[in-house]
Amino acid sequence: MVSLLLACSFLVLAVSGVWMFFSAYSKGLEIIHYTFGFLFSIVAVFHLVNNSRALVQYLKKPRRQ
Amino acid sequence: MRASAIVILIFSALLVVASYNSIGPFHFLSEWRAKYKSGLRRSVDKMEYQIYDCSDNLDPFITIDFLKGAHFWHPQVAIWIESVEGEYIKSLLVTTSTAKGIFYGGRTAENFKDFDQHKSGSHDEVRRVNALPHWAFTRNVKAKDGLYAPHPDEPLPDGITGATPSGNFRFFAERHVPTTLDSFVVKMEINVAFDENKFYSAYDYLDDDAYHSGTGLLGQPSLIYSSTVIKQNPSAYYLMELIGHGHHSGQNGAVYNDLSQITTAKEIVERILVKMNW
Repeated sequence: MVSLLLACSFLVLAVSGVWMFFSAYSKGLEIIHYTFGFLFSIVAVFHLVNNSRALVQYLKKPRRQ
Repeated sequence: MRASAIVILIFSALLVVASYNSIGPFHFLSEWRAKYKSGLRRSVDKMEYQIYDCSDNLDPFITIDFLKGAHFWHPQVAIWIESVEGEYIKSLLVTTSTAKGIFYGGRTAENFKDFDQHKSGSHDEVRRVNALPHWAFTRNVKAKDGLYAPHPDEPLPDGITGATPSGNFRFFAERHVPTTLDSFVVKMEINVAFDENKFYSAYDYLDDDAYHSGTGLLGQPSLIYSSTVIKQNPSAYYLMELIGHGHHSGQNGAVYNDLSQITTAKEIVERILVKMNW
């Protein structure tokens, strides 16, 4: 669930960011962008916590030649 | 598709709609962000605005906000105050060369841009004809050589003298601001050298020695901007208006209202704002 929410947030963040870059200023788009920015940051923390063991192992384990 | 995925997609969609329409908490989030950002201190880019601060943070004080135009180039400037009847009261700011009556020799139409960027004290100093005639004749102080521009032996005081502006500038002063008058006129005269056009070129005014022998006066004449400040309007901004030009070789202090022969000089200034804090 966390991963899916993270993916959704990332998608909205990316689309709104690119849209804002090319289009005229829109207050609504700006609010979407920073709302999902906050959401993405919060969900990313949960995602890291949920996957911390795998992440630590990945960082510790030497890469196979 | 799993139920949790559907819930998340619906949640995301609702969040997008609510954010876009600034509903409820999103409106407050937006307002809070605007307030937070407006409270941030921003440093003024010194490259963008030159500051002439002749004030001691006391009221009343005057602020002049000058935004340069496309044809701005190291101008001579005088800012002064007159009564509404046209009587000279006080100079607020005069650029150094005019205030001291000294100009560098060797500055020509061909080299003046490079000269201005690399000038040093090694050049000969030359007494110059009147670059700001309306200000000089309104001030009405005749120098010992007969000109109305200040003489090197009788320069203006340092308190009202400033370096030639290199771009946009803000000027603050409270000294000499008249507090007893209900209204007064703020004037600015500005002149850029070598801004020739088809009406003011090396081929015009051939019988006018001052026009051709001055160090840098060749070109369009000075321009005069004016604004009337009214005390009953305590915190208003006034836009200075272009009211005319000075004599092409500084021979008199008249304001010539016909601006049909002035071309690029009209773009020395983008706009000038005057603000009075009583």
